[in-house]
Amino acid sequence: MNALVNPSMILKLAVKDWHLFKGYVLIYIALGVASALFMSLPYSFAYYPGVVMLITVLIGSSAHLAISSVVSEKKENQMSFIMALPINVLDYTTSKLIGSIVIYLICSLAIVGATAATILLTAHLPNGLLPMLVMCALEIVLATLLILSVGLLSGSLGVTIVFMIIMNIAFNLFLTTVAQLPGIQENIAGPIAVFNAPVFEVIGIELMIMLLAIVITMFVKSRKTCFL
Amino acid sequence: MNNEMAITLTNVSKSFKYFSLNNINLALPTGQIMGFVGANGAGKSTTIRIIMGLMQADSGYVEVLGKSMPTHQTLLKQDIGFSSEEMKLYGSENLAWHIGFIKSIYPDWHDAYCQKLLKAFDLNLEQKLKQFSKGQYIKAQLLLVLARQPKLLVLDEPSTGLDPVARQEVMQELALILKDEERTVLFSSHNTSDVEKISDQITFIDRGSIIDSNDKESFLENWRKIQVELPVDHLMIPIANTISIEQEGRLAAITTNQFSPSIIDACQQQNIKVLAVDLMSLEEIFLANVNYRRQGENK
Repeated sequence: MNALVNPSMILKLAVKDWHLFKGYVLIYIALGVASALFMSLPYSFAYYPGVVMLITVLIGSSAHLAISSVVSEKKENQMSFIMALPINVLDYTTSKLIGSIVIYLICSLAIVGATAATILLTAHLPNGLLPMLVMCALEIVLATLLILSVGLLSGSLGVTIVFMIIMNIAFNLFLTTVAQLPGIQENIAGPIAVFNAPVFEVIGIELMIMLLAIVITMFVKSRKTCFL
Repeated sequence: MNNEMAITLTNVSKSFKYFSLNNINLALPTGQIMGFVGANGAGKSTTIRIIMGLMQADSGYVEVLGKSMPTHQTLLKQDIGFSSEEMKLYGSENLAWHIGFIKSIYPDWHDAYCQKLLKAFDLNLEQKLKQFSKGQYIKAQLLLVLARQPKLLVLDEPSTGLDPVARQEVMQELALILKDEERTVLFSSHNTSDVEKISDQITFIDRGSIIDSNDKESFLENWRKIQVELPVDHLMIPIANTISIEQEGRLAAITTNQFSPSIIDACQQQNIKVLAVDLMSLEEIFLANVNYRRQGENK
């Protein structure tokens, strides 16, 4: 069992992934910011398309990162190049799981930050949307982590894509369910951002599932001595 | 010759649904170049993956540079340069980026040697790898491995898929580099002429089993094809150390893997006229060896 990890190599692999993906991150941030600005236009037709665009960018960038970082690298045989480096399975898993989620967070935080600023600075958008924004953005981060875990554990493009679709469906269910929760529903259209117990409960559950996904993935991979 | 072993495989086996590697025993002394020859699907890549610690054997023991694999894979891969036909680099990046990446990982990276290789391979640092020809791509892979100056070089079919010109270029450069350097190399190929050019030791693998292993000179010295003419109505009586006899009328070709003058004497005792004693190419030796083993398996 390879229990020890090499932080220096994990960092180098994550930096390598950042280098390969940073161009896309910038494009996604630009698209996200544009969506947020579109949402803020003072026309009735702008808000809903703006929200859809924003969600599309957040989900699309998540899927792109997860697929290209984990599955495509394997499918395109770049994995053989990586496996030959002085790393073990756990180093690789850590770099992919933690590194990719950090890359996604850079993208997501920039978009969510721009959206939050837009909500706060735009008079006709209620500040009550902010908790919903945080919970939804975190749900997409959670979905990204789960897709990465499934990609790493299955190594299959097909399985990962199917799981990604399930995550997209789950997001819609999450959105409608959370928006109707008592303590959240009544504050969405309000002028104040209310971060109350129900909001923190949802955020807490999301963080716990993330932690669980990381622990399970690392545990399963730590039992593998070899890459193949 | 150094008696230390760079690679030792002892009774290594690995089973898959439709293929198994059977009881592989392999020893490569430090400083030697071993050509690992086998047909497609013979088990070369599986053996190499086990040596590299990328795949775990079901049984047996693997020792590389004095340490067990895959237990010490992280440490050992610092000293092993691995290049494989199936290995792909990042096409959207240029060679300079790849060099920077590898250089950041391996402290023994040799800049001057890298420059020398860049010149020898005629590679453009700024060109993206997806724009490289197959020959340039293989050379780029070799550069990334060689400039690290690893103690052990494992090359899995580096010349496969290249056109004859690119293959000749790659093999010429590789031969020059290996001549200059004192490093251990395991070099797999199904192309025997490539192996013959650069190897000291040769190991043949077929259907998941090692069928023969020896130094190149011994192979070329011991294997002969003896062309003979039989007397009228004479049936060929088996002669010691012959592995095949192909007879057409009174003419026959005897293949031996232990050539000695006693075989000629044995022919003469049977009134068989020896027409010629021919040296065999490595390809002929490989094919004769494979056919002999397969006939033995089928009996």
